[in-house]
Amino acid sequence: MNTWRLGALGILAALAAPAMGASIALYPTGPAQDAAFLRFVNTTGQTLTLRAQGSQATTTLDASVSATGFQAVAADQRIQGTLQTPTGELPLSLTVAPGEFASVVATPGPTDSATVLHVLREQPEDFNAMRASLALAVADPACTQASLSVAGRDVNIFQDVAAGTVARREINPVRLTVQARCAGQAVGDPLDLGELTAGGRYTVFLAPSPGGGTTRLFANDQASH
Amino acid sequence: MLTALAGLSILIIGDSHLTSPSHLIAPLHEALVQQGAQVHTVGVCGSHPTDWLEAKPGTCGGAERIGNGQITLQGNAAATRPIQQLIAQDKANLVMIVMGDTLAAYDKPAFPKAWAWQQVSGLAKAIGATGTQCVWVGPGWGSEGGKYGKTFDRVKFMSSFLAHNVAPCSYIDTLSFAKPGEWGTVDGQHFTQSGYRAWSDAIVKALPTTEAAQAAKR
Repeated sequence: MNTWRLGALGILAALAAPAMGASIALYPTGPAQDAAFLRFVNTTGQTLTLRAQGSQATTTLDASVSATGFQAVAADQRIQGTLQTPTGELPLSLTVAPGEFASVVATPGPTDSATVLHVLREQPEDFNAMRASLALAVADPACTQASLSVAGRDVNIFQDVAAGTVARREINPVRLTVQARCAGQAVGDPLDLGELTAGGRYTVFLAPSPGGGTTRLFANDQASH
Repeated sequence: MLTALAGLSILIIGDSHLTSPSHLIAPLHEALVQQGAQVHTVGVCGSHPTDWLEAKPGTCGGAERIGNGQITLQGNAAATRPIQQLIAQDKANLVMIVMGDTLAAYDKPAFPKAWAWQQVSGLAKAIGATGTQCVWVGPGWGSEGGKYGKTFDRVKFMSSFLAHNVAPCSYIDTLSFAKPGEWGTVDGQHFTQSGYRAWSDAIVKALPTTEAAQAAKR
């Protein structure tokens, strides 16, 4: 009889117990501020070496027209370093805002022996794994009214993009060949971007070319972890 | 009784919604086992998506459960494991990710879009690269306020962001299962036991309808 009573009490106790979850320690539900990203683009036609201030580690930017991937950097904190060029060292100093993607584009200078750095910045909003994202980034001060159209068709993807700026939009994930123009004049031959994938993010850069004129570079905008 | 999930190896990973015996690691894990799936659940409190690309210690506990086994609470030993390793060890057909509240920055004025994109796409792509199907379960309404400062506006934005960015994973929209505030919470974000049972029932009902679960069975 005692056992029965304890059993019944046990059941009653269980029924009466509040259906509450365990207390979970407080944890942050996200970072203090948004992430910031930085990459380097080299259109000088010469090998450049990048060194962060206070570090012995270096990154080589190949002579072939190339772009690194985006690396996460501390937002709103000054990033300093040097860029070693064949003609000397260039100081590098910039901050990247929260949510910003900054591209430092090393281009030939007016005298060709010098290297000039252009910083192009954007704060994209169009994150979508079901569509592709394409940007036109104009690093050539001489390229005015930049545009990008579907090659061989009268279909503008971007038009009237100002020098020093980045324009971006979502597009369908398709195979795409484009024609870049500055003030209506074609920049090089049509550029085959290949098959753009859903969730992929890409940029076509327009930058000064060694020997004069404007060159174009196609870059993948993926960020490393 | 044959069910849509019978015979599947299902790996469930996620945040604090999986780390207590009164959370999803009980009803959800058990319901999927009852449907004939082999289930492995690993939860690390406070974890973010790309934490699951490496072995990263947790900050507020964790739990693990395998098949019909007991829930193991891991306390300070809790750590994420690389998802590729977990998938290979389990020969998982389907990965279920339960994460969203740890990305929403409820107490911040601005949603950290760039960071959230890097986090979500990083994990989703890593799983996709293994060829394993995946389904991402988004956050629930909870209650406004509480110690995490949850708001209905922000959780709605978070869910929409996930819906647009978890591909190639399928998305289960928890917000569609209940009205704002309908499921009671203990702290604004973590549900009562009955709230977790309701959430679990809704996930189990929705799971077989997802493209990921259907593809996993093929």
